[in-house]
Amino acid sequence: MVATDGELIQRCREKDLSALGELFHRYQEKIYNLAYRIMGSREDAEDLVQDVFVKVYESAEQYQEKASFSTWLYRVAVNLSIDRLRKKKRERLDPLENPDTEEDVSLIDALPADDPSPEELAIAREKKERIQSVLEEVDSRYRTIIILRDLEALSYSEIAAILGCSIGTVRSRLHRGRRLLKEKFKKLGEW
Amino acid sequence: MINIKCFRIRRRLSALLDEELNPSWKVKVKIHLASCQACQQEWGDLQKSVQMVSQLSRLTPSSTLWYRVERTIRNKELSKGEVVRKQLPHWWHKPVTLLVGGGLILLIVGFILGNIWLGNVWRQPSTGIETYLDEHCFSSMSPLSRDQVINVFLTRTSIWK
Repeated sequence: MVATDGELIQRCREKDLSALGELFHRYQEKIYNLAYRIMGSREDAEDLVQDVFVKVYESAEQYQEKASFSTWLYRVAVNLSIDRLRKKKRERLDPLENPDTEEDVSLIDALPADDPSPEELAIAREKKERIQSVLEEVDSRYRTIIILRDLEALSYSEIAAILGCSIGTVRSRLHRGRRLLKEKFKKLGEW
Repeated sequence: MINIKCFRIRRRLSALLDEELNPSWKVKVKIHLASCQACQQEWGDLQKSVQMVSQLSRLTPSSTLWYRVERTIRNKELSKGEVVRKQLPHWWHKPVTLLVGGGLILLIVGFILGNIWLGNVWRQPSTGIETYLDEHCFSSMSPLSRDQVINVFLTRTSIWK
């Protein structure tokens, strides 16, 4: 029988590392994608995933069954991402370093049956990189909400629980964030 | 310049797209969209923008990431033990202190054990006559009888003196 998230987190409280391993394999991809879209680099995203799960293990007692485990996990991830972004800003590091081959694997997965030419591949990759960099130009308050809604497909109430704000705030920030994004896409001539 | 009605409608387009608008507003917005070209344009742009973001692919983290997490936790647990060690006073870590302290402890323990095994070291030092009597007369006597005989002997000799 598959253990529930609640049972696994209870075992984490008893310092059972294999329980954390199970939670990790359930949620690593979600947290990694969220982190990558917020932070903008694969390296930072992996560091963040690591920090998130270490934090989950160390602070398992703080999790209250009132919210779902995934909501709590997203909250931890969002808070750590924002902390890291602030730190990076303070250190004046360039957040848009090496866009390397980050999209390659998933791009290949998403290819249609008839193989595209290397040029088409390169164009598609460039486009995704541009979308990502436009996303990174949007203030992190709005960007986080856009990612949680448009990439993670969470409901307004889930987003409100993760960010600790009202549904009204989610609605208005999402509206403003999308408007900003649309203006930036238009400016860049993306459509 | 957009009119107030268009402004109120546009604020709700995002929620309409996400199916998070209440039914009465949903009807109002749809009716307005059917008749306002500018808001229709806005609606189209919004859909396009959301579609662009959502086409970003899902990425897969590296397969070694779990080992990194596991190693970090184990290192942290190890360093917690290290912290307990570090909380001891600084002088505790010096090898000279440990050697001198250890030597002193060994000396005290050796003295106590030697005392138990080899007899009463704390006994008063014997006079010459006591040693002589111990060696030649009292070897088979109990310590009490020995002390009584010596006392009598010493008293008598002092009287003679």
